[in-house]
Amino acid sequence: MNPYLPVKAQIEEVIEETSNIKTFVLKPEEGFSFATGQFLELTVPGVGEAPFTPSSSPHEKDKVDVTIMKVGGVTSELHQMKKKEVVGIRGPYGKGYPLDKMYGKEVLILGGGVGMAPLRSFLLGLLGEADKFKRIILCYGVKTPEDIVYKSEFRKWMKNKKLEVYRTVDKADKGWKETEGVVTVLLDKFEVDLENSVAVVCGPPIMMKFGTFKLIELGHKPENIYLSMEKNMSCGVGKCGHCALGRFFVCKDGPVFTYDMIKDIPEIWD
Amino acid sequence: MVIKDIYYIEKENWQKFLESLLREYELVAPLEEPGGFEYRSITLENLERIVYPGVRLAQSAKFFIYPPQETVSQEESLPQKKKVILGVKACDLKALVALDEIFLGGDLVDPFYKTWRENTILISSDCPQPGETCFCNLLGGSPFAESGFDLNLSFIGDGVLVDVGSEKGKEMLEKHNVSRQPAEEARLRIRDADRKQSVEKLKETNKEFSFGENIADVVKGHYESPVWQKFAETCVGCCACTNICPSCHCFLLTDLSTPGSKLSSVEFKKLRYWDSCQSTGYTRVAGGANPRKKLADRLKNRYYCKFEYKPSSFNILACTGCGRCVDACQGKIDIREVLSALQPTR
Ligand SMILES: Cc1cc2nc3c(=O)[nH]c(=O)nc-3n(C[C@H](O)[C@H](O)[C@H](O)COP(=O)(O)OP(=O)(O)OC[C@H]3O[C@@H](n4cnc5c(N)ncnc54)[C@H](O)[C@@H]3O)c2cc1C
Ligand code: SF4
Ligand code: SF4
Ligand code: FES
Repeated sequence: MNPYLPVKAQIEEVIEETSNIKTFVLKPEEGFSFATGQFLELTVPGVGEAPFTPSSSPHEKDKVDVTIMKVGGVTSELHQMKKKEVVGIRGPYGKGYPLDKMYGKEVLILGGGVGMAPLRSFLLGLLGEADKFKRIILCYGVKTPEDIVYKSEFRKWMKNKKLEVYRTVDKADKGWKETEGVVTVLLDKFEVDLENSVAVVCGPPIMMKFGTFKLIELGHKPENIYLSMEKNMSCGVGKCGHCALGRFFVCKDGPVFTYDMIKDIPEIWD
Repeated sequence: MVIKDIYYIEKENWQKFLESLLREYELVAPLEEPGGFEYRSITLENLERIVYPGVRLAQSAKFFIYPPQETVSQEESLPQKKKVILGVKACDLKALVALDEIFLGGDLVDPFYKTWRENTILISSDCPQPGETCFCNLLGGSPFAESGFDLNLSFIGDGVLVDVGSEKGKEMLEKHNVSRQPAEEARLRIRDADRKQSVEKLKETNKEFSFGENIADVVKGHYESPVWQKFAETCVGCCACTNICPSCHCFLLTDLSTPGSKLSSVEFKKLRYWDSCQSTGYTRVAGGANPRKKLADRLKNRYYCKFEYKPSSFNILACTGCGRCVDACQGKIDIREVLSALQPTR
């Protein structure tokens, strides 16, 4: 088996989420199943490859969604691509969220910006077996209301009885009726049972950092805080060295880590 | 597998053996070239010119098993002939053990590395003349190989003592029917004396350096040390240290695939190149954030990678003390000085 060779996947649909974020619905030539939180390497043929986390439900077997922010070389080219065009994917790689360890607990999800991508997959994973969790809380923060991804899905989620949803924007506009302020302010809006809860955080580095600090301040235990780490990656399979985070390779030992595992590594937030 | 056969072979017969090998294998061996000793492909024409330098070459055995640039998208095609590499040193072999952990260990095996590794036969030779930058002795190594080879050579007088280190090595001697005799005590004693001399020379060369009680602790607790910045003053970020290193494994995958609008017209092609944690872009992520922006951060990472991270996650010391990086450094940074400077007693 050659781990560097992608399989072909056709773009079935392109959904514009915001001005610089699109969701691509991919149909791989071969079946692709993953655990939520695992990632894949996506090749834009002739351009390059980059790691992304599927944003679709892990229960879905023949399609996989990736939600991608346009930030540089590969992502800009990808944003130009249309329905029916062909990309490559390989994976899934790494260790995802340990859902079984969360059964019976209160699950607090803290997301920022495009960091909602893996969290959507995680959330859909949870909702797929919602009875197994005591409570599900979703906190999401973005810069402006425009920047919210999955807008129509959020409307459904906000009506879902299994789910408590809190949202905030750094800068509100006239229509915004929810919270204004950085994402951590949402954490003051409710209480969770610290003895029986987990928190799952994903977003830009600065948000991950302050989100984690705030959770610690509120009494969450480092071993119950799950972080998805973003590091430079190339091979995705623990060989090329790029993603090293202290003694870990993020691609192989992560990308999901508990804060407890990595809190003493000096370069985690950089 | 430990095979303990040791033979004595006259030089003339050894040469005949090599000639015979040419029929079955691709042979690579050191020749003396204008720029120094270099590995070259051997034919009947240059067979006579093979030399056995008393110390490692600039190029390590890694080059032949994990080449600087390689296409990794085709199914691994077997090399036509197995390759025999002559004259590698103990430190080369140790480095391969480290590379094995990375490329062959874990859940996914690197099929390209595996193919080259399995189709390469390693004939090592002792180091009667350790160099001024060699320090394998300070890292638990010695100037002669004790394992990891198929055959090992120790030249004494008009002949060579050949240690058989593997089944492959044994078969090779048998198949090519080299005239040989079991090594006698007296010859082994001469070899022991030679080896001891090399060890003494290494000790003398490195007497100024000390890495503390336990090599496992050499960088421990020194993350904030001013030593990194001090040595980074002369670093020019050329990456020579990692490129010359026999145990550095890092690479970058690049994409040369053919795009297409139909499934059938897309063809994937991936090329990998050696990469270096000393280069600026190595850890850069989208948006420009970079955990190792400064030269000193990157310099420090190399030491932590080799002496702390690799030992704790792969159970290997990712430095063999070959000293190549000392020779290659444009900024005259000596890894032995850096490690010694970290020790509190100095
Ligand atoms: C596990 C994981 C999951 C992720 N999931 C998502 C997701 O779901 N959605 C999402 O939008 N993003 C996700 N990301 C981030 C995503 O991978 C990056 O946004 C993407 O790699 C950007 O690629 P680019 O080529 O467009 O950006 P660029 O900034 O052009 O390139 C980024 C890469 O190229 C290298 N590079 C570019 N220019 C240079 C240069 N001048 N010198 C040296 N190196 C250079 C960088 O080192 C880096 O490796 C994830 C990242 C990780 C690690
Ligand atoms: S770090 Fe230097 S001394 Fe150590 S193995 Fe690499 S090149 Fe040799
Ligand atoms: S991280 Fe640096 S020191 Fe470690 S193997 Fe890679 S290039 Fe060598
Ligand atoms: S991305 Fe290559 S080792 Fe992690």
